[in-house]
Amino acid sequence: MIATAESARALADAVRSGRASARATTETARDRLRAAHTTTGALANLDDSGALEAAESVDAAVARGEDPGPLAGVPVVLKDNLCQRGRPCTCGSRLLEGYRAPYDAHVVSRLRAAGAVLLGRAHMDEFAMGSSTETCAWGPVRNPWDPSRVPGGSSGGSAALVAAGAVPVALGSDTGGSLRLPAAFCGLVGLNPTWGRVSRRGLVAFASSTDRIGPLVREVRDCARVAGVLAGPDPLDATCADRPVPDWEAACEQGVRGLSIGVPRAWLGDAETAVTDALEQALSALAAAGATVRDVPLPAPDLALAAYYVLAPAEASANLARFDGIRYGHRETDGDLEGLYTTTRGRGFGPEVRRRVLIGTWVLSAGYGEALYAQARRAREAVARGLGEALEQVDVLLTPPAPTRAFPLGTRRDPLAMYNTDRCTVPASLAGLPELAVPWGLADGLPVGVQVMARAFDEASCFRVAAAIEAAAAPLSPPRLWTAPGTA
Amino acid sequence: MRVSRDTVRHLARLARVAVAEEDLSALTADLQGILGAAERLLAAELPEVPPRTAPVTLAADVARRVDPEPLLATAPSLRESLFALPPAVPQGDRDR
Repeated sequence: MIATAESARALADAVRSGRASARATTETARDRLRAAHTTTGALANLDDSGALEAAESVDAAVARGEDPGPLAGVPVVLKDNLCQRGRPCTCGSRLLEGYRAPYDAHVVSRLRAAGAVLLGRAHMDEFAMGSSTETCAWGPVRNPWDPSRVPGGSSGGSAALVAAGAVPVALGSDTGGSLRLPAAFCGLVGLNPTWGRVSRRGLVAFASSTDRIGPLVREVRDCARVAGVLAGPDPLDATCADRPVPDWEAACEQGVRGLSIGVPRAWLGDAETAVTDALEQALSALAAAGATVRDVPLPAPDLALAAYYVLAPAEASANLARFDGIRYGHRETDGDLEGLYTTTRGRGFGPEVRRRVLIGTWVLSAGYGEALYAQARRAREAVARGLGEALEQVDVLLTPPAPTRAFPLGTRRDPLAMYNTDRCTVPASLAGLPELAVPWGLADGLPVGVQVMARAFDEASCFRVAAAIEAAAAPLSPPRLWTAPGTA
Repeated sequence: MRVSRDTVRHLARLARVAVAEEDLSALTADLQGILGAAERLLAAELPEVPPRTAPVTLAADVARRVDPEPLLATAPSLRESLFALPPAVPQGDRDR
């Protein structure tokens, strides 16, 4: 939790009770977003008029004695891969420059129905492919704690704007760590929900078998509230489970007495000391709060990482085939139809997307690539089975979200070094399990966090553990690029 | 497994992604490194498993009618209500 920041819950409750106006809240957030953008480069665009109109309708509902919903008047930023009707949606790519989404994503409709005010859109790694938000076609995003460092990725724009105090809530997406890494690097709470918990309709697909949508916020209970708004069935997304959504805000109050927490120490491998220290301190705090802690014998996630970087590019190469200059976005004309395809995609995709599309094309080819793909699929099942067995012995697993804290911009140019950033997040991605990243503290002025993985559809245990960690951790002093009152 | 410049040219052709000649060397080295690292999978002893299609049971896929106009409006080029394209077969081939 970042000290001095107002929570989404407090804002919504003030608007619902008429103590604050949604319009004034929106204007304040708009000014802070502009300020945060000048220092972080995180904002893709603002929707001033749309947001003010939405805020006025929230205020009018309150004036009529109606309840606008659990996020009444809360300013929200969306990652730029979530469709919002009539708004640009570039996915951080030149290929979608000029594209405006023709419909609202399911989560966007849910936010509107809950009274949230959609104020802007945040930059991201191109098509969500990256761990640092350095592959965005409009330049890298900077970390509010230290602008010479990355905010994590791929939802780094969303994270930077929340960490800078501009808005209390942003949505991101997570395929191999894209919510959990920015949460860890920016001192935020980020939930990657169970695969199937939140509809992906209107999320531009990267790797459909692991893509998910979740919140980036400053407090665990805000995360519970926003996740509760996002989750639930959607008849127009066949991959969205028809399951009841528990009261996660209530789960935050349950404590951890009686919960068992497993630690796969083999995952710590080459993690820096600040990261392992945070994990040990969080474990001690959980034990003091009544949880039992034990080691679980899971192997280092090397196989998971290798499998992910075969399977995700394979799915990406198929999903991104639709970006051919015919139906959306940017088009380059060069002679015949094939020239149009190859030139549009060659100029539209940046280097990382191009690498992954070619890797995916290779592993989906007959012969050697096919053997690699089949073996990656087997490895995925082995990872899922291993996690499933561990989660029969314990209620949750506690691990670091990343082996390091936020690293300096431009220092992981080797793709393999960048991919290694995801080594602790890809296992839950491959297995479809929920995982929640929560800050523990600061080390040398940089946030360091932990993450809680639970059984499928047991986000409630993630929230119980995360709330206990938040209660035990010292509030973080605001970051250097803080835009709200109370700057350190 | 060795990735050559010709391999990369071939993949780029399959993926319909133009790659400039001056980018080929770096891209070849990148792909060699990434695929080389992925090869550790081949050494692992892993049991055969049925293909996973989804980690949860899929709901019925419900089709619905939508207004095509907003979807067509996103196209870079339209001719009436059709996506406009350059010729699929080059002029010279059509004349033969």
